[in-house]
Amino acid sequence: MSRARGVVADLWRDKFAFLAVLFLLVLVLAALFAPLVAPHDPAAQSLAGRLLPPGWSKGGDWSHPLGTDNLGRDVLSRVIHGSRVSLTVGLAVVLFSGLLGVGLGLLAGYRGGRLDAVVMRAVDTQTAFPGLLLALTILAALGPSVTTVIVVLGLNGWMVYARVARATVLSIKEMPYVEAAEVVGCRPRRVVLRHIFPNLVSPVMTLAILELARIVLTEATLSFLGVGIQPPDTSWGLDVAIGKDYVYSAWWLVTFPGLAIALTVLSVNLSASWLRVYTDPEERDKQFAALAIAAEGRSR
Amino acid sequence: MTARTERPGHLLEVDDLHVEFITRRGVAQAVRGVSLHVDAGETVGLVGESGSGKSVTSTAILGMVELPGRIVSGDVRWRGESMVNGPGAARRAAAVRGKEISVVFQDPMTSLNPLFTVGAQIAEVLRFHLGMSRRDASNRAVELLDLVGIPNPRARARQHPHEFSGGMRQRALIAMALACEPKLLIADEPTTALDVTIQAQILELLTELQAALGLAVLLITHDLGVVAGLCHRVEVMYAGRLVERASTRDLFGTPQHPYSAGLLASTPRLDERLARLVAIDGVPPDPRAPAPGCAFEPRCSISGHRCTEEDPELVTFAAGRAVACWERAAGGGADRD
Amino acid sequence: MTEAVTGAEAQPLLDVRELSVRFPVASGFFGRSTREVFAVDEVSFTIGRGETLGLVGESGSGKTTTGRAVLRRLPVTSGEIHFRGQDITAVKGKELRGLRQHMQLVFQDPYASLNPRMSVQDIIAEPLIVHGRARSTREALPRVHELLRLTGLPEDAAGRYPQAFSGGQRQRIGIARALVIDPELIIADEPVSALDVSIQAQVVNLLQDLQQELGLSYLFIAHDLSVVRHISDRIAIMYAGRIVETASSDAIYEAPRHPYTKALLSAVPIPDPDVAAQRTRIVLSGEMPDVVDPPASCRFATRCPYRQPERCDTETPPLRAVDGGQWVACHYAEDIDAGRIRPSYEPTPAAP
Repeated sequence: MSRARGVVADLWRDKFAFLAVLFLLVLVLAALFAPLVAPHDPAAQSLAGRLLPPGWSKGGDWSHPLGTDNLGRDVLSRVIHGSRVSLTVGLAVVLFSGLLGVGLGLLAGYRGGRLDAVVMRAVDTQTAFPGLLLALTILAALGPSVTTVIVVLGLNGWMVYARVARATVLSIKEMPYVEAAEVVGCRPRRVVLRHIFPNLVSPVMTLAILELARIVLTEATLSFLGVGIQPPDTSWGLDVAIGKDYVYSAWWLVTFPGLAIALTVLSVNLSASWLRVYTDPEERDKQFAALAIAAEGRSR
Repeated sequence: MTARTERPGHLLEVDDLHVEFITRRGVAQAVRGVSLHVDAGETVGLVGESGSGKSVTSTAILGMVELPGRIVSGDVRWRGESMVNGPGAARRAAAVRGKEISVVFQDPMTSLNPLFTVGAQIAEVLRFHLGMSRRDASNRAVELLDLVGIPNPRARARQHPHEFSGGMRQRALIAMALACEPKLLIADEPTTALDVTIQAQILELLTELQAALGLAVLLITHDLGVVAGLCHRVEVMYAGRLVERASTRDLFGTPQHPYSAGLLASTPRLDERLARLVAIDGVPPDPRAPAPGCAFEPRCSISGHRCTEEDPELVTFAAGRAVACWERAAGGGADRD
Repeated sequence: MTEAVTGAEAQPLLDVRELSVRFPVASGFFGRSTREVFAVDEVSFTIGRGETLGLVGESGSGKTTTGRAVLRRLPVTSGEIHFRGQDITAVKGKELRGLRQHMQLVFQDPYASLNPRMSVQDIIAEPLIVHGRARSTREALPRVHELLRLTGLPEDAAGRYPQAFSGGQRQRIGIARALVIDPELIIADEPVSALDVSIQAQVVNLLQDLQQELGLSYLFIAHDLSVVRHISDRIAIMYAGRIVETASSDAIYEAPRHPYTKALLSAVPIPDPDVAAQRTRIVLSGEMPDVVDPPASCRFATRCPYRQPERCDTETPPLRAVDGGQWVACHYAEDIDAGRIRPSYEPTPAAP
C-alpha cells in the first residue's frame, strides 16, 4: 500500500504527468461503463434536435452538453462510446503486434544464425513498405470492420517490437546470470522463459505504451478516410469525418472528437515519459536530489 | 598571518570535508569530516575499500561533485586558496584542474575519447590550459608520449585509443595528465584494471616521473601492495572518515587502528602461505545510517564501552602519526598485537 | 603428456590432454577464413579429488577460455577432456546437461551473475528443479536452507532478492547455487577479484572450508598470484594460450623456472615496505602478443630476458619435466638455473 502511495507521490511531483494519468483513468472508466455514463444512445437520431450547439452556447440545451450532430445524435455520448472503440482497437493491436513481434524478436535474438538473419530481413523488408498505404489498400480490398482494422494494423506494427526485443535479448544473453542458468543445466526453453523474458518486459512495455498512442491516431485516420470503423459504430475519427463538412457552421462536431484524440495521445505520451524517468533509478535520484536541495533553499 | 612564514603552506589541504548523497532512501554520508594535506614532492596513499569515501574525496578535491551528491561543509584549498567556498572558487577550481592538479582514473578505456586521436587529445589539454599553438601542442604531445615510454611516439600520436593496449592507454593518460606540468597528480586506482606485469611497468613509470619532475602524488587505492612500493605516507579511510595516518613504514610495521591491522592481516601475501587467511568479520556500515559511535565498532575485536557512544576523533599522538580510536589513542604507539 | 601434472592418483577427477581451442578470425565476405586465434594451445593438466589447481595468467593468456572449454561451454578444436573417467570432449545436448550435476561454475561478477528478478531461494533451488530432484522451490526449501547455512548466509536471506545483498554475500549465493547439486568439480573463474580485500579473505576461507567438508576439487582461475598461492595445491602458469610452468604452490614461489614466472612473481606487489625495497624487480617491456596463426616459436621469446638466438624463435618449447617435480616449457631452463645464461638486463633493485 505504501508503495502505491509512493508512486502517487512521485506522480504528483510532475503535474503534467499526473493530469495525463488522471485523464487516462477517466477515459478507461468511461470506456468500460459507457452505456451507464453516456446520457444518450449514441445512435439515437432526432431530426428535430439536429446541430444543436453545446450547452453553454446560445440556443444550446444542457441535455446535450456538447451539442448534437447533423442527425441529431448526442456528441458527448458519441465521444464516450468512441473511446471504447479507440481503446479496444488500440489495446488489441498492441497485444497482437506485440506478441508477434516480441515472439519473433526473441527467437531471432536467442537462436541467432539463420533464423536471426531471416527474421531481420523480414523486418527490414516490411518496414520499407509504406504502412498506412498498405493498410488502406488491404482494408479497401477486404472491406473494413473492427476486426479487419485490428488485424491489418497488427500485421503492420510488429517490426518495431521485434527490433527492440531482439536488441534487448542480445544484450541480456551476454549477462553472466544467463550463462549461469545454462551452466546450471537449464534447457533453452527455461532459459528463455525464466531468465530472458522477464527482463524484456520493461523496454517492451515502454514501447507498447507509445505504440498505443500511435494506433489510436492511426485508427482515427483510417476511420476518417472511410476505411476504418463503419457506421453505425462510433469512432472519433468517423465523427471528425462527419463533422468536416460542418466546420464553419457547427464547429463542435469536429472539435470534441478531435480534442478527445489529441488529449488521449498527449496523455499517453506524457505518461510514458514520466514512466521512463520513474523506472530509471539514476534519473529519479538526480531529480529527487535537485528538488530536495531546491526545497532547502526555499525554506532558508 | 604569521602561520605562513612559520610553516610552508601545504600544496593541497582538505579541511573537515563533508560530502553527502541525497537519495530517495535517505541521505548517504559519503565523507564525514576528512582533513588531510599533500606537500610538494611527496606520494600520499589514500587507502580504503568500497564505501570508504576515498573516491568521493578525490572527486571533491577536483570540484567535480555532481547531483545527487554535494559538498555540505568543509574546504579544499590549493596553495592556500579555497576551491569550494567564497567568490571565484568554482572558477579557480576549473583553472587549476587539469593544469596544476591533474587526474588519472582507473579505466583507461572510458577516459579516452574513441573518436579522436591520442595526440589530438593531449594537444587539446595544452592548447586549452597553456594557449599553445596547434603545431607546438602537437609536438609537445609527441614528446610527452615519449616521456611515458611509448615507443614510436610520433606514429602512435596519430592513432586512436582502440589501437592502444590497456597498458599503453594508461601511459597515454599519464602523458595527458602531465601535459601542463602539474604540481599534484591524483591517481585513482590507476593500475587496478591492468595485468600484474603491466601494473609493474606503470608503477615503475610513476616512480621515475615523480623523481624526475618533483611531482606530488595522491594515490587512491585499495591495494596495500601498491602502497607499500610507492607511497611515503598513508591515510586510511573507513566509512567516510580517516581512521589512521602514518608513514608507510609505520603503518605496515605497527598499525594502530584495528581496521588498518585487519586490512593488513587479510591481505594475502605472495611470500607467505598461511593455513587460513585472517578475515574481518561483518560488512561496512550503511552510509545512510551512520552509527552514533565508531563506525568500525561492530567488526572490532578490541571495542570498548566508549566506542558505541562516541565517534573517535583523529588524534595525533606522534610526529606524523594519528589514529581515530578510543582504545588506541590512550596508549598510542603500542606494538602490533 | 598426461603424466604432465598428475596428482598422486591413478585416475584423476579431471584429465585434460593437449587441449586446443581455436577461433577463426573475422571471416571474409564469403565466409572463408584460414586465420585462427590459438586461444588455448595444447594445454594439459589433471586435477585429483579434493585438490585445487590454480590456473594463473594475465588477460589474453587463455585461462578463462580453458575453464569454459573444460565446462564444455565452448567447442574443443583438438585434444581430449576426461572427467570422472569418461571422455567428455564431444558431449552435447541432454548428456551435457546431465554432466552439469558434477561440474559447476562460480562466476567473477557477483552483481551480474544473479538474476535480479529471482529470489535467493529460487536461484539456489533452480539446479535441483532442473535436474529433477525437486519439483518446485517450495519442495527444495530444506536443501536451500542447508546451503544458506553452509555458505554463511542468514536464514532470512531466502525470500529476498540479490539487490539487498553486498558483493561478498552475493558471491556466497553464487557458491550456494553451484554447490546445491553436489558437484565434484568447481571451476572458480576469478571468484574474488571483484571483492574488497577484507571480504575476499572471508570468501577464500569459505571456499577452503567447503573443500574440506565436501571433498570438492577446484580449478581456481585467477590473475592474483597471492590469492592463488594461498588456496592452491598446485599452480599452472599460462602465457599466450600455453602452459609455461606447473609446480606445487611452494615450488612455484621458491624456485620458479620459467622466465615469465620469474617476471610475474617479481611484479606482484607485496604489502611490506621493507620487502618491497629489497626485491629485485624484473620489469618486462612490451605486452603479451595476439596469438593468431603463431609460428613455431616460444610465445614468450619477444619479451624474454634470457632469449637465445638458437631455438627460441624457431621451436615451440614443449612442457617437460625438470627435476624437483616441476614442468617447464623452456628450451634453456637448466642452463638458466645453472647460471650459464644471464638475463639481458641488470635486474634493477626497486627504489626505496
